[in-house]
Parts: sequence; structure tokens; C-alpha cells
Amino acid sequence: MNDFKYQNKPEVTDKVINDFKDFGQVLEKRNAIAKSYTRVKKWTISASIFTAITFGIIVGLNIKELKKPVIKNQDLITSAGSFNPQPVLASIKTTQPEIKVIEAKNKLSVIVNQTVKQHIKEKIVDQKETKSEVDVFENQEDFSINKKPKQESNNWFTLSEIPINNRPSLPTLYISKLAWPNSLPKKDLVKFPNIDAIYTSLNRQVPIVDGMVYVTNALETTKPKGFRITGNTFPPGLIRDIHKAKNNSILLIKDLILFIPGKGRISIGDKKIEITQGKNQNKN
Amino acid sequence: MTQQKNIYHQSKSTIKKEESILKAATTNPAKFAPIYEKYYVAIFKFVLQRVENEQVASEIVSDVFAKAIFNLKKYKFKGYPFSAWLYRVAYNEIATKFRKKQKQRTVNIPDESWNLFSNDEDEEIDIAIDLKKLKVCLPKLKPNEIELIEMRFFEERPFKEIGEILELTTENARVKTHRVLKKLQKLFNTIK
Repeated sequence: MNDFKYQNKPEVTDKVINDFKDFGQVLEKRNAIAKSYTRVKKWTISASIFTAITFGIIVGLNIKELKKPVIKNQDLITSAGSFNPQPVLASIKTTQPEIKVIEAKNKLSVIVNQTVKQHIKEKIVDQKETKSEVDVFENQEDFSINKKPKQESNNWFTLSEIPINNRPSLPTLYISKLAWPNSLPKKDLVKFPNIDAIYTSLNRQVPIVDGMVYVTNALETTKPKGFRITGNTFPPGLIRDIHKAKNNSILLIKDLILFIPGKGRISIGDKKIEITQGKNQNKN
Repeated sequence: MTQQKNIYHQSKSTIKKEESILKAATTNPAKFAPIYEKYYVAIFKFVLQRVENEQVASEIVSDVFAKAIFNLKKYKFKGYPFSAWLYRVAYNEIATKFRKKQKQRTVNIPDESWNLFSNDEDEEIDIAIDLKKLKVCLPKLKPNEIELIEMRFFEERPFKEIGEILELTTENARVKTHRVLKKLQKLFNTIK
């Protein structure tokens, strides 16, 4: 069905049709259409430029934020937070140069006159001041390292083992070729004095950067001698201590730090391993 | 009616000449004047067939030519006369105008319509037609079916041209027209 209007109109002659002919009007209409299109084009172009600039600014800001250095390692944050170089620097600035100046004064007083003395004095003071500042900053790392055992001495016996649920993100820790062992026979520990952190799925080993190992027992209240681990093998002193270990002895690995590519220095916490005399082994 | 036939059936040299004018008109719209002169009457009649009066038709025709000049860059010469493209622009323009203004589209039924039906090549379809019956039957057809009847019988267009205007193949235009005629025949038989 359609709703067209039907009519029977008389035919219109060509002469009547030609009376409506007006090419000028057609050109005007064409120009009007072109104008409206150019206006739309202009708006579209300016809008797209504005959008592009806004997008560029947003992306630029995000990139800047991403480029900002982020301290990932919690250990570094804590050490930097606890250590304030300003007082130390101030004390060195006030005391050290004076001593050096006196020393220089004694050495040079006989040879040179007063003005030369003064000149050299000033020079030495400047040099020493800068040197002392550099020394302080260089010693900053040592300071943080020295501070660690202090903290350990307070709570070295309290364990902060990382729960099993949190482990998948970390590499597997192999001690004497056994993954996350709870107990190991003394024989194996001595035979394979290795500690390795490996992403087994990637078949990639992760370097062990730091950590302390103690051979002690559960009833021990005094802090035993510790051994620093900076590689994959136990130090000889530790192997000797393991040899000497008696019943109920434990191998205590404290604050083991790995260098995970892309993450940086990551602490995987502590690990307690029972040293058994026989061949029994328990795996987590 | 005879003029439309003449416009569509042109020699190859005329069509080529037309093409060169159109190329020039893409950069300079004023050069479109000869084409405007050539097709104005045909397009006017095509539009007038579908609208109420000459004023409305002249307005639409000037819009058709203005749009044709503006979109000349989009026109691709395929060896057909330019009129086929102009008719398509006019066809779309009429549809747009009626849709925008929500006005009723007009169908002009010429006096000699019944002769056109009987002159059809197909002998099976022999419709004893009269104007009154036709006015009753046509509203029962679909808009696209009316278009075919209008172009083929009221405006005497060849199937090739109908196909080009409605974007159909010549054969498809022929088949569709044949089906519409059969439908119209059935409608005629039901009316006493």
C-alpha cells in the first residue's frame, strides 16, 4: 500500500518549463552548499586539532610521571628514611677542617711567609671541606650496611617467613638442590653447600645479593656468629659450623635479598631449616 | 516523452564531448551551463511527474543541478550519458524533499495510460484498463512498484535507463516490471 496522491495533470509545454530556467540561481545554491561544507570542514579540522593537542598533553604528562624514579626496594626506603646525613655532615664540617688547618700550619710555618701561609691555608680548608663532604656521602652506604646488624641484634631470632601464598611471584629457593626445604641432612648441606634462586618456569637463575646465615638451635638466646651470603655458595666458615652442628640445630637464613631483573633488590624474608643427622628430608 | 528517448540515446562522440565539458566543470562550475541547458527540460519533466506543480518542481530542479555540480568530483564516467546520473540525483532529491517535509508524493497519470499497457510486448498481460480502475488499483501497490510503472509506462523509459536510475541491472528492471504488471492485472480482475 502507498499513500501517494494521484492526479491527472495536463502536460506542460517546454516553453513554460524554460521560463523557470535560471542557471545563476543554481550556481548560487551550489556556492551555498560549498560554503556550509567548508564551515563544517573547518570545525572538524579545528576540533580534531584540539583533540590531538589535548591527547598529546595527557600522554606527555603520563610519560613524565612514568619516567620519575620509583624506589622499589623497601630496604632502601627504610635505610634512607632512617639515615639523615645532615647532622653528621655538620659535625664533620665544623671539626675536621680545623684539625687539618692546624696540621698544615705546623708544616708550612717555617718555609713560607704569612701571606703565602694564609693563601695555602684557605686552599687547604676548601679542599678538605669538599673532601669531607664527599667522604660523608661515600660512607652513607657503609652506614646503612653497618646499621643492619644493629636491627638484627634486636630481633634476629624472630622469623618473618613469607607465606606460601605469596611465594609464586618469587623465584624458587633451592638449598642444597632442594626447593624450599624445611629440614636437610647435615651430609647434604656439606656436600652441596649451595643456595640458588631460580625461576623454574623461565629456567633463569636470579643472583643472591645479600643475606645472613646462622647455625644455631631453637633454645639459643645469644646471637651466634653469622655469615654473609653474597653468592650461591656457603662461605667456608658456615660449612665448618654446619659440620659441627648437633641435634636440634637449625640453619637460619635471615633477610635474603635477591636482585630480580625489572624489580630490583627484593627481600624474600627469612628461612629456617632443621639440620638433621640422618637422611630424612622434608619439603614444604 | 519523445525528447527523453532522444536524450538517452546519444552517439559516442556526443557522450565524449559531454565528458570533456564535465571535466572542465569540476574546476569551474560556470562551465556546466551547456549541460544544464541540455538536460534542464528532461529533469524538470521527471521531477514534475512526481510533484504537485511547476513551482515546486523548479525549486527541486535547481537543487538537483546545484548538488550535481557540487558532487561532480564523485561522478565516474562509465560510457553512459550524464542524464542517467542526473536522474538518480533527482530521484534521491525528491525522496529527501518528501521525507523532510512529510508531504504526499504525487503520481501523474497521463490520459493515454491505458494505451501504454496494451502496447506492452508481453501478450499474456492484456489489461483492459480505464483511468478510474487504475486510480483504484495503483494505491494498492508498493512505492517501489509504482516507480517502475511510472517510469516504464507513464514516462516511456527504456529498461536500461530504469535500471540505471534505480541502480538495477537492465534484466532485473525488466523482470520486476513484469511482476508488477502481473500483480496489477490481478488487482484489475478483482475490481468489477
